Amino acid sequence: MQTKFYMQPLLVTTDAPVGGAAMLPDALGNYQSTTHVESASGSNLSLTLESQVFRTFASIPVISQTQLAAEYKDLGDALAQMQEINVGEDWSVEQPVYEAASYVATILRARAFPVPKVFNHGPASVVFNWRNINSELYLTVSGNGLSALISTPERITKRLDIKYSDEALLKPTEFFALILAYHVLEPLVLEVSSGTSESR
Amino acid sequence: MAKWQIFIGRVTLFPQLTAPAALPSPALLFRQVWGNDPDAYQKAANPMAPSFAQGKVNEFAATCAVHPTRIDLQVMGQQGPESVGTLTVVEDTAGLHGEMAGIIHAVGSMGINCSRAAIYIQLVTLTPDVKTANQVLIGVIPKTYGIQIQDEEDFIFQVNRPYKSAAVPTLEMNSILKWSLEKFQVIKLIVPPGGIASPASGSITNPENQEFITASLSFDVNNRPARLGSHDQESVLSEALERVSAAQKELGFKLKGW
Repeated sequence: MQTKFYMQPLLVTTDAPVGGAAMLPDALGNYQSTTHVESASGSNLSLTLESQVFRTFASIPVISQTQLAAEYKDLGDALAQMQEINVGEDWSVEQPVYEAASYVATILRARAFPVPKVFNHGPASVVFNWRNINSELYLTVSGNGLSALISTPERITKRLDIKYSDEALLKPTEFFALILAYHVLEPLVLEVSSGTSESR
Repeated sequence: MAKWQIFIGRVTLFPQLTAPAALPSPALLFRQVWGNDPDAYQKAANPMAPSFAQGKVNEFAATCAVHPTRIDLQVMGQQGPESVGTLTVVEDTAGLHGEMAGIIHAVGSMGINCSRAAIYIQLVTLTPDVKTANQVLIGVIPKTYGIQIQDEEDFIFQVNRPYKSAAVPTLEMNSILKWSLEKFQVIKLIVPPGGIASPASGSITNPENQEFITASLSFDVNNRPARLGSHDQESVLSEALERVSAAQKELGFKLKGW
């Protein structure tokens, strides 16, 4: 029996395209990422949570694993130095915040996300930052939750606040993929099928 | 049937992203699980790297590794002077089952909030070459899957047979079986008297590097993300251990004590 496989572009949206114009595929027949809005009921998110539907032919820019590992090691070293600052000083980081920031950085590394910079830190928070051509993404890790803010020079374009008790953070990788996708405005491919305990 | 032996047994906890306090040190967990101090302890300077505690427990080599996103408690065969340079496997499979049950019981009083708990058991059988390893694998893969291999290398075949937990009915479980051809390298270093740091010792003797080809079958049973307290972790892991026991019997293995 011979089976034919077809590649099917997928578009899912509950929003009418802006200005009524139809969304057109690019020269290769692929749609860019699209958005549909899900109910935020039962969630502690401060704003409506949107989920992205991503095309499966593209991925984040490939970065050398060696380079990525070295950059994440630098990030870990920076976190370690924060903890060495004496408690009570302006730049010291409280232990729970330090633990949460280390956890976030470890998840980002495990899924080969681009390495953030440490934008700011103090007793109650560590702020990670990614810079894009047009916008900045700030991820604030505090004692009770995460806050992601995306801004251009003109305005704040997106803000998501989430508490550690929120169900969405049972799968933190998906949360980080969502905010990074908003930031780079490019599709991110996220492997969701793995049920093994080998990696996370 | 080829002689299958256990290579490794492991229990893993995946802590939730939260910020109440630091995770316990591996040395503390080692004492909590095995009742005595580890022989070696290495704390990572970088918070994104794991810290380790290792020691001998009965005739096994036990390791506790603590990482921001996972805690591993694992048991392997203990390497003795006569087995240096060989692939060490567990001879006492019943003893290892007892160790796994003991770890699971200890997990119930650790007080670590997790999103996932997992049990992992890997069986191996040494083979002289790839073709033999493939034949061994074919002998233990259910015929219903229709797998045919001969001298292909790097064979991997994995299935997930998910189920609903009876111990914690809200939980969905992954029950993964993975048949594969695994190659292991064992590097034996011959350290001259006085150690390698000794000025008189000169350079280290050339290391011996030996490769082993094995047919491998691993059982990986874990829950899909959910909020798991200590009691639920123990219940789910006990059930998972029973699931592994049942699966190995179903596949025709007769591991003593399982």
